[in-house]
Amino acid sequence: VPKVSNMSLAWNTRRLMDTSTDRPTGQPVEYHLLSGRALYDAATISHDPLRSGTAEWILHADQDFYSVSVVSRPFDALPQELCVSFPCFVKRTEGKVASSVIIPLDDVAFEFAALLSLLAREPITLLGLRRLANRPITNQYPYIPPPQDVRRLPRPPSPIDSRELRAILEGIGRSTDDETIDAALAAAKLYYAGLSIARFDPSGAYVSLVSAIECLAGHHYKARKFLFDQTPKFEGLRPILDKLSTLPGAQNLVEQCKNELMKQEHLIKSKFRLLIAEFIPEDFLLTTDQLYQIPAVGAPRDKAASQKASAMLTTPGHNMFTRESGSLPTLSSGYTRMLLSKRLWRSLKGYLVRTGRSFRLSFGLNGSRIW
Amino acid sequence: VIKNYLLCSFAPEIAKEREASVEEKARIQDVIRNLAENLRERLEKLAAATSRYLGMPMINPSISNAAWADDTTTVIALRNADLIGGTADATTEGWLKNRLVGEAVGEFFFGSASNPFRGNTLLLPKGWENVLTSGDSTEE
Repeated sequence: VPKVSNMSLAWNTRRLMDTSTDRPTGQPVEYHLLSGRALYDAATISHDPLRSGTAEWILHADQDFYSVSVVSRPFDALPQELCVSFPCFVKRTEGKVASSVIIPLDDVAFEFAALLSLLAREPITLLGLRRLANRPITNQYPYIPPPQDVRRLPRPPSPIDSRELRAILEGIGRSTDDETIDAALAAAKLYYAGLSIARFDPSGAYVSLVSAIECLAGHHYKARKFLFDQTPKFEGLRPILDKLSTLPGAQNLVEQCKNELMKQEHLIKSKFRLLIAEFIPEDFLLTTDQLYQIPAVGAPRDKAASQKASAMLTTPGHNMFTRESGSLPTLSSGYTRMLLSKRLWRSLKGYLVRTGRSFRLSFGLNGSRIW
Repeated sequence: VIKNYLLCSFAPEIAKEREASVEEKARIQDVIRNLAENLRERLEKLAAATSRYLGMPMINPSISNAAWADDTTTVIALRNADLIGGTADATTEGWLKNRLVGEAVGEFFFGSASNPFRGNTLLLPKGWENVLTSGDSTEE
C-alpha cells in the first residue's frame, strides 16, 4: 500500500502534462470556490488589475491545464466567487476481488484550493462542482458560511503571481519525488486548516500552522545527521557518558548508547529552526505585514496597549481577536511571548541571535503569517 | 516559508529569478547610493510624485520634468544610470524605469517597512519597459 496520500493533484497534473498520443482524455470540470479576499493576477500588465477585463483571469491557460477565473461581478466584490477549470482523469484501481473507477475531482479541487490559499494567504472555500463533462451540476455541499461579523472584516486584495502558480503546478506534474510532493501538499493542507479555523479556534490554528512547518522540516531534513554532542536535550547525560567511556572496554558501548539515543530522537525543534532559517524570504522580517500590522518582538513597547492586552487575557470569555474600532488590538512583546510556546520562542530567539540582526517581527495568530 | 519551499522544490527557475531580483535590487540601490547628491534628491522627488498614483487605475505614470528635475542633464544622467525612462528629447516627461527599479528606489528612500512600491502593479514589469512606447511607434 503506498504511503503517500496527498497525490491527487500531482496524479492529475502528470496526466495533463503527458504528451503521449495514447493519453486518455480528461473530463472537463468546473469547480467553484469562494474567497474572502479579492484575488488578481499580479503578473498582468493592466491599468487596473483588480477591476479591468484582465481581472477575470487569475490563471489563464488553455483547456489542457488548470485555469482560475473570477465568476462574480464586479471582479473585486467580496466574497469573490472563483471557478477552477481543469480536465480530470478517470482513476481505475484494479484489485484481486473488485476494481473501482472514480474521478477524483473533489480531491484535486481541494488540493488546488489548498495551494491557492497558500499563495493568497486566505482560506479559499470549496463551493462544489458546477459543471462536469460540459453538463451543469448542482451539488449540496455542506458549506456553512462563517458568522456575519467575520465575513464583514475588510480584507485587502491579494496578488497572485500566475507565473509562480503555473510553475509550481507544472513542477508538481514533472516531479517524480512523491515524498516531497506529499510533504509539501500536506503542509499546504495544514496551513489551509490553520487559516480556516483561526478566527474560531486560535489554539487549534496555532497547532496546525506549527505542524505545517514541522511536516516540511521532518521531510526536508530526514537524512540529516545530528551529532549527539550538539543535541541540547542530552546535555545532562553527556558528562555521565564521558565518565563511563573512560572505563576499560566501555568506549564502544557508550558510542552505541549515543547512537541508539539519537535514533529515537526526531529533533523536530532543530529541523524546524533550520527550515525557517533556510526558507524564510529575505525581506520577510523587514517588511510590514499587509494583513496584520501587529508589532511584536523588537517593536517599541506601548504601555497602554500592553495593559489592554493583559486585561483582555484575564477577562473570562473575551475574544482577544475581536476587532475594536476597526483595528486589531496591539500586542506587546510580552503578550506575544505568552502566546508562543516555550519551544517556539526559543527557536525564534535562537534565530534572531544567530543572524545577529534586530528584527521587527510581525506575528499574527488570528490568520496567517506565523513566519 | 511554505511558499518558498514549494518554489525551490518545484519551480527552481522562479526561485532563482527571485534571488536574482534581490541581487539586482541591491545593485540598483548601490547605483543610487553612488549618485551625486543632487541626482538623488531629484530621483526621490520623482519617486514621491509617482507614488501618488499608486492605487489609481493607471499604468506607468509619466511625471512632467518640471515637477521633479532641474534640467535635462539630470534626466540624462538618471536615464544613463538605467533608473528612469523618459521622452526621447529628455525635456518633457520622465518615469521610474520599471517595477524592480521602483521597488529598489522605494526601499532606498522610504525604507523596507514602508516602501510604497513593494509589489506594485503601477509600473511596467522588467523587460516590458517599451511595451507602451513600441505600441505607439507601431501605430505611427
